[in-house]
Amino acid sequence: MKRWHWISLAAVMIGSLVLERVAVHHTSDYWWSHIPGLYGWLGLLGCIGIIVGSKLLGRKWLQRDEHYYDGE
Amino acid sequence: MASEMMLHPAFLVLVGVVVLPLLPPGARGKALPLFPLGALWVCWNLSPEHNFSVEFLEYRLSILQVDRLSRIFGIVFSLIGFAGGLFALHLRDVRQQLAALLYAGSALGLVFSGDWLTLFLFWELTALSSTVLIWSRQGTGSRVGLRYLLVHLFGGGLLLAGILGQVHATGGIGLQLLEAGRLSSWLILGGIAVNAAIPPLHAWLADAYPKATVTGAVFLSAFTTKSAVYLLARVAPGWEILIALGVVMALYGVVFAVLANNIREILAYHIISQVGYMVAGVGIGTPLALNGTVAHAFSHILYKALLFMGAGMVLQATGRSRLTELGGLGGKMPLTLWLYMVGAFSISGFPLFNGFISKSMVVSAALDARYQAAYLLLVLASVGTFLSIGLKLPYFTWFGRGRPEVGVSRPPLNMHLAMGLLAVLCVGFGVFPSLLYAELPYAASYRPYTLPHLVESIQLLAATFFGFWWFRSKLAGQPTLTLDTDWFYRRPAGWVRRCLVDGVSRLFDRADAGILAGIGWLAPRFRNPTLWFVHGSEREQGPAISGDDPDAARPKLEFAVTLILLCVLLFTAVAFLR
Repeated sequence: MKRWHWISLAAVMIGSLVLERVAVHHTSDYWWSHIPGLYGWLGLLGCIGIIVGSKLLGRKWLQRDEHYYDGE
Repeated sequence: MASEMMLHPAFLVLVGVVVLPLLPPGARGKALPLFPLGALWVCWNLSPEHNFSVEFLEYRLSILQVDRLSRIFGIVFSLIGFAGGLFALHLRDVRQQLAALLYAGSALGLVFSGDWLTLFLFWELTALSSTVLIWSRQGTGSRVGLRYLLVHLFGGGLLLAGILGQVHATGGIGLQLLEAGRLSSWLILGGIAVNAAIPPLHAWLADAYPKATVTGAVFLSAFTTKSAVYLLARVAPGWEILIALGVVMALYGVVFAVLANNIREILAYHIISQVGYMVAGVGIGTPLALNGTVAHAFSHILYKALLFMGAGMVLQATGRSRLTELGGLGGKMPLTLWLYMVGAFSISGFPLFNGFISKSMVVSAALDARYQAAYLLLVLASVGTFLSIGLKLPYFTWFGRGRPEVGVSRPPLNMHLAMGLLAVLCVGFGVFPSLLYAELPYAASYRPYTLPHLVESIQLLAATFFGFWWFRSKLAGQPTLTLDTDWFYRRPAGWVRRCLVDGVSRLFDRADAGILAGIGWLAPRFRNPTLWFVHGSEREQGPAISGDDPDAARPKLEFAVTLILLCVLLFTAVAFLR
């Protein structure tokens, strides 16, 4: 990743947060729909949660040697 | 009737199964895409006035029943049949070519069936023909193909049992909405669940698709699960249990794709995840949700075939499909990379790609119907989709550390052409969603390009990228296998074989040997009854013969006397008893 990639990505993220603040009016009445940057949080925390949770599940329970079924 | 049959899209494709072997081997590949192309033209012009049925015993079989739901599935099945045929243009394997045509024709026959019996016939034909596409891959296909076939025969058995119950209960064979109170409805739902890959009946998909042939996997990714989604939308809209099952599917596929090492296994788990959106849409059951299901099935067939083509190209060009053996291929396969990325952007729901205009319909319908948890979990699943298909797979295949030892062969032009066609369609429907929306079956309007939706999507995708970059080292492939629910029939398979096959075979072997030994002992004694009265050593050596005396080989006098006495005793006993 080059520097301009990061700058573009940050600009897009900040732009979307600003647009959300000034131009988006949520019609949904759920408490969570009023959290600022909700979808950004969902993306970041969801991504980390999926990686960590899946890897934990794999290491503790599901992952086996590639030849696990070879004797079947 | 012959002219009516000609107007059946499945008939056109199935004619190809007969005609193709008669063509010269060099022409078969070129002819293959023409049959689905003809079916596409027929599907496009179909209307309910073309319906026809035939008498069979005491039933009327609705061979061709057209409505907007069946028509749009027919269009996309024909379209992908054509694209898959173009991708396989260079192929010289008539077995695969015939299996692909039979598979596409059966799937078309299935969606235009108006009764349970016709549908069941085509349902089973899709199972058999798709199995051949798995068996056709040398080396790995035979055992996994057998597992695939057995699971689908089990699913077909459930469906048939349900159909028989349904026919008995309703007195007719027409496709009708399932009623929750009937056992037959649940059996039918179980049969559909196998083909739709609803957990825990899903493991066949991730087991078999990565082991199919390069071209076969493209066809497999399109027909089996989506024809099951079609049938769910036809007979079980609004079944709320499907919402929960759909959400579980969406997340299940995401988790297992993070753990997978094989690129086609990652894609296979994301079929389960994406079909989860469709199943949830059927469960929500509103016109918007059902339109979302159909639109997403349409989009999914296009971008998933494109993704499987990209992964297949990597396998074909390098002979490898494990992330642990790949990396840095971007410079060697730039066109494949960018065409793959169109599919990845589509499945991830990037604006201007077709996943954006279809997935959001189901997700919005969940919120409109006030299923909050389902909405949030489906949004979370879309994070996982971008993570695995849009980031993990391309990063560790085309970017990352290069492997100079990996040789890359040049793929045939037709493979890139097929990918290009699908990429254009993914972008085309993404930019002009009304082209797809105009063909949807239910009355519901939806606008995908609204400011809130765009802002939400951009935030979600950008933040997911930050999360991936931060934790990307943890996503590197590992040379491991992930246990799934197929463990329940794969792991005990050896034990069951030892008990029920090896054990029984051993028992038969021993019984066989025992019987032969018994016969070997009895036969000489019946041939020469005197042997009953001689000792083992004497019997083995035979009577001692000295010189030229012939009497030496005869029975002794005591033996004759003993026999006479025994006979006298026997007759005396019989006389007394009478």
